[in-house]
Amino acid sequence: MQKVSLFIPCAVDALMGDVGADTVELLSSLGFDLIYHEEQTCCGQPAVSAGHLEAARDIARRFIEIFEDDEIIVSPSGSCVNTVKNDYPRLLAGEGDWQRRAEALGERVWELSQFLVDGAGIEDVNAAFAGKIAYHKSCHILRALGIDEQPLKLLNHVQGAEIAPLNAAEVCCGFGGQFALKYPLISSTLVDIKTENFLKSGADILIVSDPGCLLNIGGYLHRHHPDRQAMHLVSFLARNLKGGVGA
Amino acid sequence: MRADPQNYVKVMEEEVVKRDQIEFMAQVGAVFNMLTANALGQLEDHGLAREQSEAIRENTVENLPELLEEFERNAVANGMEVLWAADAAEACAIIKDLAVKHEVKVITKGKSMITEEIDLNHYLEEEAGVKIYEGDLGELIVQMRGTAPFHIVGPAINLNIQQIAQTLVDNIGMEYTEEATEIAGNVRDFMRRQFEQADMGITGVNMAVASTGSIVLVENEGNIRWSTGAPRVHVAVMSLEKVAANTADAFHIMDMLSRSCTGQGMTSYVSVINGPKDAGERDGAEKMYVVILDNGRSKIYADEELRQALRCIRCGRCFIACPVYLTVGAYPYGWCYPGPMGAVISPLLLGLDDTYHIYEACTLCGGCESVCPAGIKHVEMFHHYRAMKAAGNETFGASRGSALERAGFKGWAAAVKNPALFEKSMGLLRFYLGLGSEEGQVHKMPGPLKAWSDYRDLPRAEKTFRQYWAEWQKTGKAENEAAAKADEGGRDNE
Repeated sequence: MQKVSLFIPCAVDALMGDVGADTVELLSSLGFDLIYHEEQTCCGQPAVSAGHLEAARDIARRFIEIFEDDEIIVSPSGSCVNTVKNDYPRLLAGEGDWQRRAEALGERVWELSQFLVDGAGIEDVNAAFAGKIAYHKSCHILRALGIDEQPLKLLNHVQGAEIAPLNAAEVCCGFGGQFALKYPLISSTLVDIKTENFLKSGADILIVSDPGCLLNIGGYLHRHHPDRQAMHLVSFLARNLKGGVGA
Repeated sequence: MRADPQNYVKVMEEEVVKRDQIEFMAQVGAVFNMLTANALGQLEDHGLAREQSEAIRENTVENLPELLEEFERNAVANGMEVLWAADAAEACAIIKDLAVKHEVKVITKGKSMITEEIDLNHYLEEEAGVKIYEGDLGELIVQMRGTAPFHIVGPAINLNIQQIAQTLVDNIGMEYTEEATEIAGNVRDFMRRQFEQADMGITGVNMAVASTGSIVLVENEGNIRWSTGAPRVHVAVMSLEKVAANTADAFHIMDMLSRSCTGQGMTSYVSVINGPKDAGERDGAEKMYVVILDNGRSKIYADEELRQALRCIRCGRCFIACPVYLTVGAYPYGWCYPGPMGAVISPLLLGLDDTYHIYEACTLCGGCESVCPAGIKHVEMFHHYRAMKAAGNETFGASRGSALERAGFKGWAAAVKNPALFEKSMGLLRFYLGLGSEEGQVHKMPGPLKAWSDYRDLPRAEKTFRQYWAEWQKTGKAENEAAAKADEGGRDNE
């Protein structure tokens, strides 16, 4: 069995443990042998975004030490994968060996949908769902990592699921980490627009594949439109596996 | 216009509630997204064309001093006079002296962002007593209304036809009409009279060609051609990055600019000006000046990491890819350069302390850089600015950031590096959040987190992932492996 090391973002660990659990259910149902380094904490993205680079470098070096013996590292967050893949080498540039280690690690870190489709060649995870869904294209997955078709390929293979077109699917939901706390008026307006587009799509569930978007859109829906739901791609797949695993 | 980026939050709060404007700008964005995508799609190889424009701008900026000197030599040989201005005040003074020297009473302008940057109109009206008319329809409307341009290419793009009609009724005595062609006809008649009596035309420069010493100007309305061809004196103002090595480079950039800006393969007017008119020629200025403005750009050039900010070609494509700009509009940015384009250049020109809202009120979504034909990495730039602000940077006006924030991140980093402490902090956070929550959703949060819970809930799963993993290790793993094997067998039989 292929070994997969789980990179579970801190926000998933602390607040969305179910998304992490669904990652485990899905990957184990597909036959992967899972490893979880319990000493992992946060990838340091908040420090990178806030410009506190010394703190970010410290955390980056520690992350590299924890994960660098793993062949395949998979995360249910494109945003955190982007930090490791694209920000670490930049942060550690000029630190000779560390930069090389960051680059080498970056090549083995996968966003979940990208790992399944491109890495493992799996498009059909053996799930079924009778209903209408829409898909939000998370910024860091789409633009920072260039992952566009992979999540949709997985969704297209979910038996019975109808994918409704979503207007402005590629536009940011307004999360932006600390942005949501520093500029709540802009952030809430953006998530309101995202929500309006989702409601207009007529879908029952909005699928997202980054935990940040899930916090933002999911929380906004729960407050204002409790009859509608946002769900992480991995949860949607894991909870609708045909064998009922994780259901 | 005068810069006022410190008032970002106050102005933003006024703008962000204008749902009609947001709805309208979303439509504008959608239309221009389609037009520009079509125009770029018509290129034989869009990807290659973009790589070329990115490479041209990168190389140009790398060789800026040499190219500017070459341009100056050739422009002077063509009969232009080239004047260098270190800052806005010097540029304004140079142009005022020219107006006085040539006994100028009326000036018409071609749309130019650089003259907005140096606030030239106010200066000339106050200091030289001249009358100035903006020649571009949108810019003229904005000039009459006394507001900032809403977009670097479409200054009045946010106004509806009623607002436009009323502005023209009030300012040029037009009879009220909402017919677009009638409005345009009225403005055309009005502007024609100004072009005919103008003594000086002032324009910007889309691209100065180093190898030929000529300047290239693109437009759709003809106001630039009038301002360069009719008055006795033509003054072209350029910021020092607006140069191209040769005609091929310049026109590839103009091609990408037109497609990325208005979705046109080529604008209605393309002017290449090689100097003042020769004896016997009917059209053209008798005297032609090119003012090259620095205004802080040499400082940017000197920094290898920040230099890419100078690649911008002012196409405005990033504006309609920016969810924040489309939501808050131009006014919060407090200067002539809004949107992602402004968020890249303004902090370096005005100072990082005074402009921090501009680069912090950004989700780092990368929409801007995904469409930039000049290859600017906006997200990287905003990361730089935030880091410069946190660490302090004298050259670009950043005093050292908040000590409290620094201490906060230091403490946080310590927790992140210590799994036991991290788990304890996580438990504490979950406990606090738990106080305001029910059924796995937090409704009320304390302190700075209130900004979140004022607008939305926050999920709080029953268990942390760690707890789940520990349980799964004990019980779930064996069951799941058995289930997976059974399932594998089942699938093979299908």
